Formats: sequence, structure tokens, C-alpha cells
Amino acid sequence: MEGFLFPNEGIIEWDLLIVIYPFITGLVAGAFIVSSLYHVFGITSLKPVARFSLITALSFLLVTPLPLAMHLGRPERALEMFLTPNLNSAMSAFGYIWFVYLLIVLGEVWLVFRPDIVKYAGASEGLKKTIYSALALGVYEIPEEALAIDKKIIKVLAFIGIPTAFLLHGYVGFIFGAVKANPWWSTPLMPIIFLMSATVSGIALLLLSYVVVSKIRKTPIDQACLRSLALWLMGFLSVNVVLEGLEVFTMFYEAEESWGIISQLITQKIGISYFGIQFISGAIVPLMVLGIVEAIGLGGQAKTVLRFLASAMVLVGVFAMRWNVVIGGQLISKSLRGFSSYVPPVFGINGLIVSAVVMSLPFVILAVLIYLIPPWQEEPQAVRREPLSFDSRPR
Amino acid sequence: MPHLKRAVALLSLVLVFMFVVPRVMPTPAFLIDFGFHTRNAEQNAEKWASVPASYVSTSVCVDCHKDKYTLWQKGNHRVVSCENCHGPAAAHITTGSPEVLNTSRDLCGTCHARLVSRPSDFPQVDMKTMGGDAECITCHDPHEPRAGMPPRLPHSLEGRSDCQTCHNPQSHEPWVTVPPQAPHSLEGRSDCLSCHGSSEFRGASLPHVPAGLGGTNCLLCHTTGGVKPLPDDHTGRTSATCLNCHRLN
Amino acid sequence: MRYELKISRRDFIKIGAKGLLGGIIVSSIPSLLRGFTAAAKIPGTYDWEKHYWGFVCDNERCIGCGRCVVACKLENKVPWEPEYNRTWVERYVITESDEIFVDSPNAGRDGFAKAPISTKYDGLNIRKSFFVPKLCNQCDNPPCVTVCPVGATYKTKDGIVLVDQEHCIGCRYCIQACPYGARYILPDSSETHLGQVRVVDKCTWCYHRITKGLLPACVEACPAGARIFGDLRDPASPVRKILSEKRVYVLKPELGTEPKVYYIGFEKGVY
Repeated sequence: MEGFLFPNEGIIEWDLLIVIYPFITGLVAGAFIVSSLYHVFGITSLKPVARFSLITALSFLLVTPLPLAMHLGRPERALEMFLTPNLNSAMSAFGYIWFVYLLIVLGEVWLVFRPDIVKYAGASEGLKKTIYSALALGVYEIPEEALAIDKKIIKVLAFIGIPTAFLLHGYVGFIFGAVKANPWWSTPLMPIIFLMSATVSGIALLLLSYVVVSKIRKTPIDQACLRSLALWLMGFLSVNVVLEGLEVFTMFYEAEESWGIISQLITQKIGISYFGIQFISGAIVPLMVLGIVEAIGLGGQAKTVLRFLASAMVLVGVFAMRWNVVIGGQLISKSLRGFSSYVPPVFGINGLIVSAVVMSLPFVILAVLIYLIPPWQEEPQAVRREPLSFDSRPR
Repeated sequence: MPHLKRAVALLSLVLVFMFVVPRVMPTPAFLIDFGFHTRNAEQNAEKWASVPASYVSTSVCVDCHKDKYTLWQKGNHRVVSCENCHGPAAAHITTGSPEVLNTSRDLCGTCHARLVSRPSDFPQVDMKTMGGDAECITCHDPHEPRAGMPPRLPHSLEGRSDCQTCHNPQSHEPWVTVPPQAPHSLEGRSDCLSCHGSSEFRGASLPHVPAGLGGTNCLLCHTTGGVKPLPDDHTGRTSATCLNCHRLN
Repeated sequence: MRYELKISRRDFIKIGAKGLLGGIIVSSIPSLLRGFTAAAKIPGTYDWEKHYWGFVCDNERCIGCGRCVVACKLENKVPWEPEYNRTWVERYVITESDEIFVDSPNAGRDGFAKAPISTKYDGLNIRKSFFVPKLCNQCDNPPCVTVCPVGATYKTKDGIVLVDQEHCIGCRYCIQACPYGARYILPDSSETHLGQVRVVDKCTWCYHRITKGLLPACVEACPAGARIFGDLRDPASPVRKILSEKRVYVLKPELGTEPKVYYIGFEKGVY
């Protein structure tokens, strides 16, 4: 700590758990948008990842409330968020938006995968048969008109899911952007910046996951799909960089009273994380790399590797952005005269280890979902594949 | 379509259980702390209002401590509540438990140590030189701190660096009889401030000369029958010396 | 069109379900709000409709003794460790070269008279220096009340902002939203009067004292007359008198929180 802090400051109230929460919700929004790009706007190049991105969105969505509940002082009272919300508060939006969005994504996943579920229900036995039968709600026939209706509903859900996804991540941005007490947070651009970086992180995650999963399954990577993902990533990333840059440039240009402490924050306290990771390695360099990949002729392998690296850098950059906003905003004292400091502990409920576990949970859920309802559509007649099976019995 | 009907039925069941049942059923006590607590402003404000007070307010102390209270009421420490030094009295009243008696220099210094941030008209002393290491209560009764103390200066020290110039009983200057002679010899006493304090006089502030009347002969108006006659102890003074004590605004 | 009819039936069911949900939520809001809007008295002779409390801090009189901080801690059982404070005193030192130094060692609870605190600025060319007492401003437009997701913090009819510590979930959004640093979260083991832990706490202007006709503990303790408390509705109260006679200012007025702690002797650079 240095300078002057109010006596009640000095402790970072919203710590690592609150940094990973918008990161996880961001991935949900981004993955869902990719899925909707196919299901609503018919971007066929994204078909190979459409169903995969949908269950990715679901996996991350299920984990979303966990870091929030864990960081509460009284997590046993968490249900009050649903039962007695104060609708004036942006944070109360979590209850209803998350819940409605969960219903939408669950509905869409169920309808999209229903033919597969029914098929597997017929082809398996024992516990698996029970699970599939329950998921199918005991309905085993899929007449043509039911499929047509389902398709229509899927389209509707994917359509209304887009503004709901915007709300799901926009409200997080508004939680920060509407706090007039904190000059680093208070800007109307915050919800849009959060949303854009969410989309960016989701697309990057899908790009990464698609490459990784294809390598595990030893299936060829659809280069057109990868290129489509990369182009959408570049588009959203450019918008994101412009917005984030505009925010800080406007603060610098207007040079309000708070600029003194904010300039110290971004140049000294979080300088490396802000300029180094968020902007340069998280946005400028990936844009350049992806641009080069588009501009010059390279082999498929090289293109995949470069796009993979660029996406990984983007993901780290988006995480740094969450860190810079959440932690950075709390480092500055409301007296505008001092800084706290924060080094996340390793152990404990708000430590690095627990956060790593929470971050890996969605991938565990994703693995389970892929095992139960594989999203791949290259071999529609195939018997249920087990790309991530853990038992070694010969098939 | 049967699958949609069942899906909607399941959804409705979940919604009813989540949102209707908790509102309609009375909440069992053990669940209240688990998120089913409803808010009620009056009940909660009532809860906050019924917290017991530990400080009772000084007017209660007089019931038992009449003599100390009367002494305290007259002195300069009448603005310092009893509980400020003696701690909260609620427990003391009910159980008779002894009150705090912190007589250290530190407690006195908390208020009276000279600090540049304090208002200049607040009584402050240099704790390093005043009184050595002795407790302040050796000389100052905490309930009537100026009892037995040398009087405060009746004039400001601005422009007056050498007290002996006016208060020297040996000097023959005609106007030095105007200020009161020092009631004690000035031998061995060069630093008048160490007893009389250097804080501005309080309560005995002399009236100031209105701005613009600086060069006028004061006695034109302030003669015995004039606008405002000179007070009795001003006999023998001439107009040349008025500004020595009365500051110009 | 036959296709459309089938769709509308399905959609109707789905929309109906969502409408049911919406209806439940919307219809339950009035019953939740009823608790807030009903005018009621606190048992006893205190009627919260008849008072509206205000506070004045006089920076020209504060001597930085810190007795107010101690009195508050003792009266309200505010935790001594970790260092949380419902009220504190700040010292401002302004040098001839326009530098401003601010400090509040231990929130001012030991005063500023002991070295090295008393000698910290000895070498500087000081133009002026003064103390500023701080506490919760009980804003008329409190940002902390707006952001509480479960409505645990609220403003009473007599103008005090309180926290329902049995309802608070400890999310700390209000701590982020308060521009004045008045709020804090109780630690794992605290012995406050209401016996709650890991929920948010703050200065209540000694609500339990003012509803009984007493003064807040810090006002009682102040020997310099730097803290003045009174009823804004009572024309004879000292606060009303000061507000009609002296020039006063509030902290961060540009934020629109409408604080009710008025400062005499305010200075540019005090936040």
C-alpha cells in the first residue's frame, strides 16, 4: 500500500473469484454467438462447430454461479438473489437473466440433440439407457413434423438467445460501469467492452477447443471452419481494441480530476498487465498474426498452428482485461491519493488453486456432455463414439 | 407434440417449486437463514434501535458525583464529557464497576500536545518541555485544569517579543505603568511563555479599533462624557498608547 | 397456414410457461415491497416520521484528538482488529508549494500527538494544516441502497441508511459503490451487538441512541465541538442554525449522492 487510503480500504473485496466469473460468462456468450451464427444466420462454414459450441456454452453456463456463490460472505443466503431481488440493482439481474438464459440454452441443446438422444436410448442398456430415456422424456419417436417444429423452435431460441446472451454479459459490464464512486469503472462503454471481449474470448476458446478436440479424435480440421472462426475473431477483436482504446484515450484527453491516479494505475501498478498483456499480446499481436495468415499463403498445418497461438494469446489477453478492470479498479483508493496491492494467495477459497479448479470444471462437464451426446456430425450412422473414454476395454 | 408437452410440464413444475411454493408456504425456521429470509424495514430498524447504549451522557453523572460535577461544570473542561476520559458509564451505573482512570501524559497530550494542524486558538503546549516526565495532573486538576494556574495573557503577542519592555518594574519610561506590574520579580524568569502559555487570550479579548480610524485621536470620542467612556483602569493613559494594546482591524 | 397454426400452439404453450414465470415474479413484487412502504412506528415513543437527522463537521474546530473514534468503537463494538472504522479522522497538510499530504494513522484513534506521527511533517514548509472527521454521510440518494442485489440495505424514514444484517449476503457491492469508504465487511469472528459475521456494517449515526433522544457517541465525545448533530426538521436544532448561518460544503457533491454530513471549513483537495 502506498499513499493515503481510507481506513476501511486496503483489502481487495472482489478478488480472484470475481475475476474468473466474467471470464467464464464471457466464454458462454461468445460460444453461444458462434452457435447462433450458424443456427440463425446460416453461416454454413461454422457448421462443424455449431453443436460443439452449443454444449460448450452450456458447460460454462452451469459453472457460472459457482465463483459468485463462493465469494459471498454468506453463501447460504445466495437464494435471496432469486427470491427477494432488489430490481434497482444490476447485480440482481444475475438471478433472472442467468435463469432465463439457462432455460433457453437447455431448451436449445435438448431440441438440437434430441434425435441423437433418442437414438442412443434405443442403442444402449443399463444405467446409460436410463439416462438417455430420462433425457428423452420418454418420447422415442421423431416424426418428420416434430423435427420441423423442433427446427423452428431452435431457430427462435437461438434468436432470442442472442439478446439474452448480450444481457448476460452486458449486465456484468453494467455492474462495473454504473459505479460512479470508482473512476476506473465508471463509463457507459463498460457493458459494450465486456460484451465484445466476451465474444472474442468465446470465439478464441472455440477455435482452440476445435483444434484440440480434432487432434484428440484424429479427425481432419475443417480449414474453412477454422478460417471462418479466425475471421470472426479478427472482426470482433478489432472492435474490442477500438472500444478499450477509446475508453482510456478519452480519460487521458479529458484529464479529469481522477486522471492523476488512473494514469499512475495503468502505467505503474498494472502497466504490464494492461498495455503489455491486454493490448499488445492480447489484441495487437494476435490481429497481426491472423492478418498475416490471411494475407500470405501458408500450409494448412502452419495456418492451424498460428491461429491456435493467436487464440491462446487472445484468451490470456481477455483474462488480463478482466483482471485489470476488477482488481485494477480496487487498487485505487476512493481518496484518489493511494493504492492498495493485491497478490492472490495460493491456498484458501479465494486462492489460485481453487480458481484453477473452478476454471477446469466446465471442461469436465464438457467432457461428460461430449461422452453422452457427441456433437460431431461427420458420420451420422456411426455407433456412439467415445472420443474421451477413460476405460481401456477393446471395442 | 408429446415431447414438447412433457418438457413444458417439467418446466412448469420446476418454476412453481422455485417461485410459488416459497412465497405461499410459511418458511420453516431452520430455512430462514438459508436464503428464505424476507426483508422488513421497520422490523430491522427496530432491531437497530434496541441495541443497548454504552455511553450514558454526562448529565447522569451528577446524581452520584455532585462535587466533582460542580467543579467540572465551572472549568474549561466542561466541554469534555466525563466519559471521554473515564470510558463508557453504562456498565458502571448498573454494576458499580470501577471506571477508567488514565492519568498518563499521553491522554492529556492527545488533545493538548502542540500540533501545527490544530486550530491556533486551542490551548496547546509543547509536551517535550512542559512538565518534564511528570503526569500533567500533578499541577492541573483534570476537572478544573486552570485552577491555581498563572493567568493567561490579556493581549496578543504579535509585535511583542520582549515582555520586559513593558512589564519591567525598574524601567522609568512614563508609560510603563500602564500595563500591570509583574506581581513577581523578573529575576530568573526570562521565558514568560513557559508559565503564561503562548496561546491567544480567550474571553478577555480587547475591543479592536475599527479600520479607518487608525490615525484619529481616540480621546476625541472616548472621553469620560463621550461616546464610550474609557473604563476605570484606563486613568492616566494618553492617546499615544492606545494602539499598543488595541489592535487595528 | 396450417403449419403456422401448429407452431402457434406450441409457441403458445412455451410463451404461456414463460408468462407464468413472469407473472409470478411481477405479482410477488408488491408483497415484497409492502414491507418497505408501510408507515410504522418503532415501538416506544419514537416516531420515525417526525424526525430527519442531519450532521455537521467543523474542520475549523477539530483538534484531531481521536476521542470520537474510540468512543464509536466502544459504543458500537466495532472490531479493533482488523482495522475497521465507522468513523475516522484525517489530517491534511498543505505545503507552500501546493503539495497536499493526507494521513490517518490507525484511523486517528490514538490521536496525532505521539511521535513519529506528530513529527512526520516537521521538515516541510507548511502553509496550513487541519483535521477532517469522516463518517457515513447517510446520503439522501444513497448509491449503496441502489446497488444492493437483495435489498438488505435501506434508508429509514428519518434519513438513516441501515443494513439488515440478517438479510445481507455479503456480496460487497455496496462497499464498491460507496464513494466515501464508509462501509466494511465484518470479519469471521466479530462481537458486534447484532452478532452477525461476514456481512456488511457501517456507521448508523448511533441509531440506537438518537431514537432515545441521545447524541451519537462521537458527538458526545468530541471536546472541541467539531461534531454537531440535530434534527433537520426542528428549527431550533444546532444543525439547522448552522446551515442557515454558515457556508457549508459536502464531500464529492458532483456524484449526486446528497450527503447529509455538512462541513464547515472545507478545503479544495479534501475527498
